[in-house]
Formats: sequence, C-alpha cells, structure tokens
Amino acid sequence: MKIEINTLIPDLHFLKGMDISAFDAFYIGFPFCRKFEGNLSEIPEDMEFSISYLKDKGKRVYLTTYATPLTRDLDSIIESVERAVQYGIDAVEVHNYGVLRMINRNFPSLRIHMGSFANIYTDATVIKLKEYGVKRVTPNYELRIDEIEYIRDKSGMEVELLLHGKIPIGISESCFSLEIAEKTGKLCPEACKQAVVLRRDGWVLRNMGTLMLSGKDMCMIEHLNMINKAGFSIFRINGFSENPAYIGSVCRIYREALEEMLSGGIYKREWKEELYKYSTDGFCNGFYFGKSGRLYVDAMGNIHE
Amino acid sequence: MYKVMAPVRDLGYLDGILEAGADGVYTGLQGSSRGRVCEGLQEKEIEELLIRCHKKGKLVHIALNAIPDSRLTDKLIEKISYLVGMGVDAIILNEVGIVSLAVKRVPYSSIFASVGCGILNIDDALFFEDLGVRGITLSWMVDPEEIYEIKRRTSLKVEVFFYALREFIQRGKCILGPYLMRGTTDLRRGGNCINICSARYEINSNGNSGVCLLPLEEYMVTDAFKSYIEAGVDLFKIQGREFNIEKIRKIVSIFRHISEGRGN
Repeated sequence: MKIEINTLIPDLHFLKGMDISAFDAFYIGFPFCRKFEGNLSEIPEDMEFSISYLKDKGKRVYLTTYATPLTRDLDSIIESVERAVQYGIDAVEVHNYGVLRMINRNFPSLRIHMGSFANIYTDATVIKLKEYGVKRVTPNYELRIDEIEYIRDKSGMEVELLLHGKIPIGISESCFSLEIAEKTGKLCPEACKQAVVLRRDGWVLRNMGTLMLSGKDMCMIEHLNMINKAGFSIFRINGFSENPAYIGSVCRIYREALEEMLSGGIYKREWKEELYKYSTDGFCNGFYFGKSGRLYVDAMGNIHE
Repeated sequence: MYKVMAPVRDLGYLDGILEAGADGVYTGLQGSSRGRVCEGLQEKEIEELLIRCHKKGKLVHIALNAIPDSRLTDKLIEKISYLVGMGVDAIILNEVGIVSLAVKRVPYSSIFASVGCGILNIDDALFFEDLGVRGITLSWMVDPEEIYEIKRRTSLKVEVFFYALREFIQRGKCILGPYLMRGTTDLRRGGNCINICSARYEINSNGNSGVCLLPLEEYMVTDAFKSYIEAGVDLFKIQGREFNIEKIRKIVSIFRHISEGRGN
C-alpha cells in the first residue's frame, strides 16, 4: 500500500526551518487568516518559490485556501489559485463550498481536496462532492474512525486522516492575539506567530490568532496497526504551531513506524516515548474513539486524561 | 415583507410569543435537534404547534440540525418526510449531504440551510441554491451589502439573526465543546452549546501570563436594521430556545418597536 504523509507549511520561515525529507506532500498557505504574516497562499513570490523548491525535491504540493471567505475575499482566492496552477500545483484544498463551486467552474480539471472545516459528516456529502471535482476529503475531526471508514467505503473517495499534532477545533471571527495585545505587546501580523496557551481545570488549548487548537498533541502511533488494517493511507501531521524542527522529527518516527508495520513488523514502545519528548502537554486521540477529543485512549482501551 | 421568527421550546410559550408580535416560530424535533437543555418538541406537540400557528397565519420552521451517523440518515429523511407531510413551512438542516438527500427524496419540501452550514459568501449561497434549498440562515459576519448581492443573484429566502449570543468561535466552525466534554456539548450531534469558550482561562504567551475571558456578547440588529431591510432580508431570527418566555417576548417587542420605526 502506498502511503502519503503530508503537513501544512504556512510561510517560508517554517519551510526553511524544517526537514522535509520524510514527507511526501505539503499543503502551503495558512487557511485560518489571510493576514497571517508570510502566508504562502497570499504572497505570489513566496508561493512560487515554495512550490518550485518542493517540486524540485520530488514532493507533491497542494495550495490551501482561506476557510471562511466573505464575498469580498473570493476574487483574490481565485487569483491565488490561478497563480498556483501556473506554478504547477498538484491540488487545492478547500474548506468552503462557495470556493469549491468557483474552483470547479474556473479550473474543472484541477484536483480538489475538501478540508476538515468543510464539515463533512456523512457519505451523502462525499458522494455529492464528487460532482464538483473533489478527489479527497478530510471528514470533520469530530467523527469516529468507524464512521470515517464507512464514509470512505460507501463513497469510494480518498480520505485523509489526522495522525499527529494539534487538532484545529475552531475558527474565530476576531483575532484572539489582538484581544490580548495589551498583555503581549504584539500586534498584527506578528502577534499570532507566538501560540498562546490557555488553561482551565486541567484543560489546555492553544490559540494562534483566529485559530483555536487542541492543547494536547493528537497521537495515533499506538494505533497504527488498526489504521493500517482499516486501509487508510493518507495522513496529515500538524506542526505549524510548533517550532519547525518538531515536524520533521515527528514525521520520521511515523514514516519508520508505518513502513515497518506495513511490512509485518510490530509496534515499538520507543516510538511513542520519542514522540512524547516533543509534546509539551501530553497526548490525546481526538475523536476517533468516540470520546472527548482531549482524552487519550491507549491500545488496551484504557482512557487517560 | 420581512418576518420575525421566534424560538419556542414549550407549547405553553406559544400564545405569549405570538401575542408579542412574532410572525412565526421555530423549534426542534426531540432527538433530531441540538440541545439537551432545550430538548425540542415531540411529534404530537409539533402537530399541535402547526395547527395553532397556521390558524393564525404564522409560520413554523423545524430545525433538524443534529447530524446523524451516515448509517442513520435514512431515519432522518423519514422524519423530514413526516414533518413535510404534516405541513411545516420549512425544515432547517445542517449538512450538505443531508440537504441533498432531503431535496431529492422529499418532494415539495422547503429546506433551509442552517447557520451551521457556514454560508458566508455569494458563491456559498449559489452552491446551496444549486443543491435545492429555498432559504439560508446567514451569520452576522455577512453585511447588508453582501446580502444584497445574494438577494440580487439568487431566489433564496435570506434569514439573519436579529438577536443572538455572539460567541468567540464562528458558528459552524467549532468543535471545542466535544473536544473538552463529549456527550453534552457536541452541538452537531444533538448536544447543546454551553458557551464553554467563554469560560475563564489562564493564558500564557512567551512568558506573559494572565487571565482572560473569551468574548461572548449579546448581538442585536438595531442601528443597521434599515440596511438589512434594504438588502432584502426576508426573515429575522431570534436565537434562544434556551431563553424563558419573558426574555423572548421582550426581544420580539423590541423587534416590533424598531421595525415600526419607533427608534432603537
């Protein structure tokens, strides 16, 4: 089975600071705020450089698009996609149905991936989306793994799974970094570069401006056998809220683990131990096991806070 | 002519809400709508609601906005079919696939796309019109100028919020509730938003620490009311199936006061 491990690169600083070798593909841009400093989907020269750089290294490159566009944003999103197509993009990621409709009409042969904020909950949605040129979906992160498997099997659509890293859990209308600018002294566009940690009663969240993330790292290393047996092969690792060095190391561990287990090897505890070193607030499994997203279910089924 | 839609969670509220001046009401169907606190009405109660409202020429919209597991969508479509057969004026749905199934399998249904569908721009509106919906509920993020464009280029009924609690995280873009407390706050799975985002949090950023409350504000269209009318808004929604009768009556009265041009 051919696997793909991908990640999101928001800006050139992140690209230059990370080891890309273990990844197969990259989403470029920051879909949660158009004003994000250095946003690769907004700056033509940075977009061109990153696409060309990654393609030269034999990687697939997908442009991600703004998740919550108003009418006034649409023209520039189409311009951005047009530019990316000229630079040789392999696919575009879409979170908004209006953007989907526009891209399907303007670029009918362009491969479209629907992102997690498109709120895909049922196979009926995925089947409908085929009419719009969609070739891959990321169901809403709220779904259980058995629901995702059912959707994939009923629709025959490629499905992407989040395997590791912070889970995007909300997009706000206003920017939290600006709400607390008095405390941090940072203003737009640099304010959201430094993730803010929010804590309450043992709960932990992260914020990057308009994006709310899980505080814990989603971690599925203990469950790769189940993931492999279920036939999933496209995986995302999130690290854009971390130091860029984090993401390459995490991907190397998953690459080794996936390849070893696919060739008949067995799970090694040191993979999880190694990953734990990169985690500041521990692990969770998101919603795959039907529990609160912040909890961690181990391979024995035990639940950990 | 625009209308105001008020929430009704209890049939005992109905006369009071209509007397206050609501043009129609909306509610949920128990088991298929969000909200464990505001459970929604049972089928028999919806039947009574319809009889009482239609006698007075008032609209009834039913929100079936809990999204089921893919394997249970047929049951939801059966409920939609039953409600449409009963005569409800619109069914409010929350997911593209469910909308598309309902339009296809329940002829003569009038489907509205909920605010949870995240419709923010003209092409979103066109996408949902292509799907076959008759109406859309827009977030307060969409301004009157953009609504005007939607009305000009589609034949959709447009509903906006007259009153709502404006949470920090956008409607339709939030899974914070089930991330923290699955089972009670998973809104799209029949839970209820308890505004968990607005709790008090300790924050830490690059050595700076403190305490913060994420914003949760009351939102009401007052000064901009005329602009929304000129944009062609068809329905003004009062959010708050969890509110008591006094609060809902008061908001309906304020709507009437403003709409009759008697100031803010």
